[in-house]
Amino acid sequence: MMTAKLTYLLRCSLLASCFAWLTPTQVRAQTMPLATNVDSNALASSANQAFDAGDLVKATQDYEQLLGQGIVNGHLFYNLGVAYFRAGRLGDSVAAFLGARRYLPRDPDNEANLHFVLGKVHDKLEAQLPATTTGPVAAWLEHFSELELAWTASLLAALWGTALALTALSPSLERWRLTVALSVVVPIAALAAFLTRQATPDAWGAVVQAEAKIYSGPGKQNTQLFALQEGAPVLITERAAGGYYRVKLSDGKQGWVADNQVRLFGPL
Amino acid sequence: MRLHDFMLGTAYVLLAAVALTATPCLAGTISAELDHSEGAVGEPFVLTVAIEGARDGEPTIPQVDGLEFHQQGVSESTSWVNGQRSAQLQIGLVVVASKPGRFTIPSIKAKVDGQEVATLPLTLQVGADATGQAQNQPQNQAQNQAQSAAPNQSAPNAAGGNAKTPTANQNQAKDDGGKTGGVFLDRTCDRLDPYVGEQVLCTIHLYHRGNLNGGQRLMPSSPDFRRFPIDGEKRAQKLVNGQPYIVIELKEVVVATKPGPLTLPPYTIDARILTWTKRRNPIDKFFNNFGGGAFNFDMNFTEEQEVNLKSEPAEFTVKPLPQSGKPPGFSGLVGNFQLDTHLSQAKVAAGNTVTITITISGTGIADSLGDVVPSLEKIGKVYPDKPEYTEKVVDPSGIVSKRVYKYALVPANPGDFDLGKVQVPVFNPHLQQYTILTSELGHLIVDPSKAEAKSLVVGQQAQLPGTKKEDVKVLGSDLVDIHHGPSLSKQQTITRYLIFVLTLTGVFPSSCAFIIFGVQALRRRSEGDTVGKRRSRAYKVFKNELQAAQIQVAAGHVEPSLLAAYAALRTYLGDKLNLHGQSLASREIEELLRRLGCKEEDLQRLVQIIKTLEQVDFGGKLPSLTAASELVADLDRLVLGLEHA
Repeated sequence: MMTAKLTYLLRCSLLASCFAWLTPTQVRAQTMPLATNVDSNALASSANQAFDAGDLVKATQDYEQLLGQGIVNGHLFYNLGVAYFRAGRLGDSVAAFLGARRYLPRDPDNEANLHFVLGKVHDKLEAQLPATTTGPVAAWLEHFSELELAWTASLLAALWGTALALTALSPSLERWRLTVALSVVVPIAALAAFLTRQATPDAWGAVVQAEAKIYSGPGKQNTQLFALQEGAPVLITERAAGGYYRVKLSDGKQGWVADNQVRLFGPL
Repeated sequence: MRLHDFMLGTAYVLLAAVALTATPCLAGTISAELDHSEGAVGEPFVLTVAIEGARDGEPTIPQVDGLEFHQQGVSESTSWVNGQRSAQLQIGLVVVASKPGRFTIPSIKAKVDGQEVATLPLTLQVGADATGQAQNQPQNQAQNQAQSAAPNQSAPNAAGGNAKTPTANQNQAKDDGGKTGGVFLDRTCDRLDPYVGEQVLCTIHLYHRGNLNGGQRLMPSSPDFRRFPIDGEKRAQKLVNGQPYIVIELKEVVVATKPGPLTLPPYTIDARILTWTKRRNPIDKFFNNFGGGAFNFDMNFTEEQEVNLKSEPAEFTVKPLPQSGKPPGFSGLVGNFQLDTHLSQAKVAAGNTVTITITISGTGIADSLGDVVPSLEKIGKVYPDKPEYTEKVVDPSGIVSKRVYKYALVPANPGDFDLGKVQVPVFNPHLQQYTILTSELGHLIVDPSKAEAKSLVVGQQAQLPGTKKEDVKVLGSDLVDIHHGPSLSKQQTITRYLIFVLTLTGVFPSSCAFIIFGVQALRRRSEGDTVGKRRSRAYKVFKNELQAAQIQVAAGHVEPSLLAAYAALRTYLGDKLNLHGQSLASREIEELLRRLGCKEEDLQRLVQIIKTLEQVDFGGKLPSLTAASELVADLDRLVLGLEHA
């Protein structure tokens, strides 16, 4: 009798563990520290006020100070992009708007500004890979941020668990138990969407120098493949020791560029 | 043949012997050489007279009008070759011209090896001033510049004039000669009555006699003066009180920060000097008994010593900037500056950025200059960049500084705009008056943006006859403004903490559900065990209770026996179906019996028995003892049948 109880408990634990594995515990953990500076709100307010007063230098300094605190925020990147453009730093501006897009994928302001600054860039390049390269699902999922998808998966899992618990507690809801149990595919699909979004590279940066040379390998000793002008958007896919990024362009070209010639907002 | 070879060899040996022995018989020589033949008044020329051979007496140094000869040193050496003594004598002389002109140093005569020998006459060309000389002789440039910077160095006790600090510094060479090894310095400033903010060039001369081994400039800070050293140094040779010195020329720029009588702290150098001590070596003494010469072992010992060299402090009378004529907006810029403005493009689309660069450059310090803001708000938004400031100290200009202001102008509307002019007031100390630097920014043509141009074309199409509607004209394109509402400091990336929260949120309810399921299952299992036990023991309990009824029947007690039998049946059915058997009604018992799979004929008999037992239970007619005995026996049989069913 005791053995039968233990077997049953073990079976339940295994089921719970499987669900726990499916939930976002497998999310790639970022090493970026949490913003702990209590003055960050005041700093953000000061930066916005300086921008409104036309003091671009102070505004940019304050925004960058927030960046230095490890804050990853789409609105911060967006404001920095505007400030950079006003200060004549086209490359930094494009990189900031591209960084903001990762965290505010459906923000109309950011879309408009990104389109505006890309219009000033000399190189004729898009800031996204064609859907034929990434697949339609991944292309559709780019309309959502990783954070949104993670929260969606988590809340759907919570909803499903609550419904299941209610069917267990209330005999009147017992007849819905099978339906609820089968609806586990919904949180699993949300989790799969999140994992797919995470697996899709979206670390878009931009060239911040007048010209950046792209090599066939990580180092100047390699063949120079082509050159990009300031503001050219590049998808950063890898970082090599020695200060080089592996980059991919919207037209399919690939190569390596020195990391001081390209700027990326947010983690790689 | 052998005889011939022997004779030839003997001849060679004899010839060689004659050649060797003939050398000491050569006459002695004398030569004179100048290190350079052209120079300036006061400039030292080094004349070296070399005599080789056994001399008789000392050479005669000639007297030339306008030239002074100072003996610097004598070196003598003796060597022995094949038993013959050969002596060499070198006399060093410093020749200084006291007036310009062309001089001829006549032959210097001496008696050597018994013969009268003489040098060739030497010619000197002495210029009137150092400037002309510098053009003719570049290698003397450093010397000549040192001359011009300190024209009275050859007479250190003379007054230095208005611009020169008191020359007591040079007396330091006499007074402190023992302490500083004859190394001293003095400082000369261009002027001692500058304006506030005006730069003054000071020249420092460091004198030494080859015994300076290094040093470090010390420039004590002063609240009254800003001091800027000029990199680099010049070297020259100089006679001071008839003594040749090496002069190192250093320069610094000083700027007074306030008016009034101010004292510029001394120029200070921590110098490392060498002191020589020559000790007579016992070996030298021994060989000197044999004439010395090639066997001399001169033993020179040097010791390094650190000394602190200071010039005299300089007394300045700093003039305040004049109040009369001071233009409004004057921010204290003093010097000789130029103003330049530049537009990155003269034509720009509305909403695009044009960069305005304002550059103020020249001699003087421009670090205190405030913002220079053009009035462009009517044209569009103006975004100032951080001003750039560069400063370098060069010889002979002094401080050359440059301040660059950049403004990003984003014109809002199309049109042709006059950007006006930029004005910067400055005080020019050379002119001793205020001037206003002015530069025109020029015109800026602002075109409609591309979006507007496109819409205009559409608008033209919309003005076709019969249509009244027009597209809205786009007058410019620009960035959307920054976001003010959302928090900029909220973390939006997925952190470890967030992973924990998300996991907890997602897993907790489902975990609760699984726990509930588990508890319910355990409870059902436990209940199932109890029912099974009760069911398996039902017949046994029935038999025990029925046995009591059979005993009562055997004893002739009909009613108690039938009541006991009825209770046994109820208990059995309750145990079998997990119910409370004693509360079952007869109709329920019938239904339950059907569920237990009772045969129809057995069911009818059981129903009949139950009716009989109910009548007994509710006080009805009692059956006979025989009927009661049959009833109990039938009941036993029927329940056994149920048990097997």
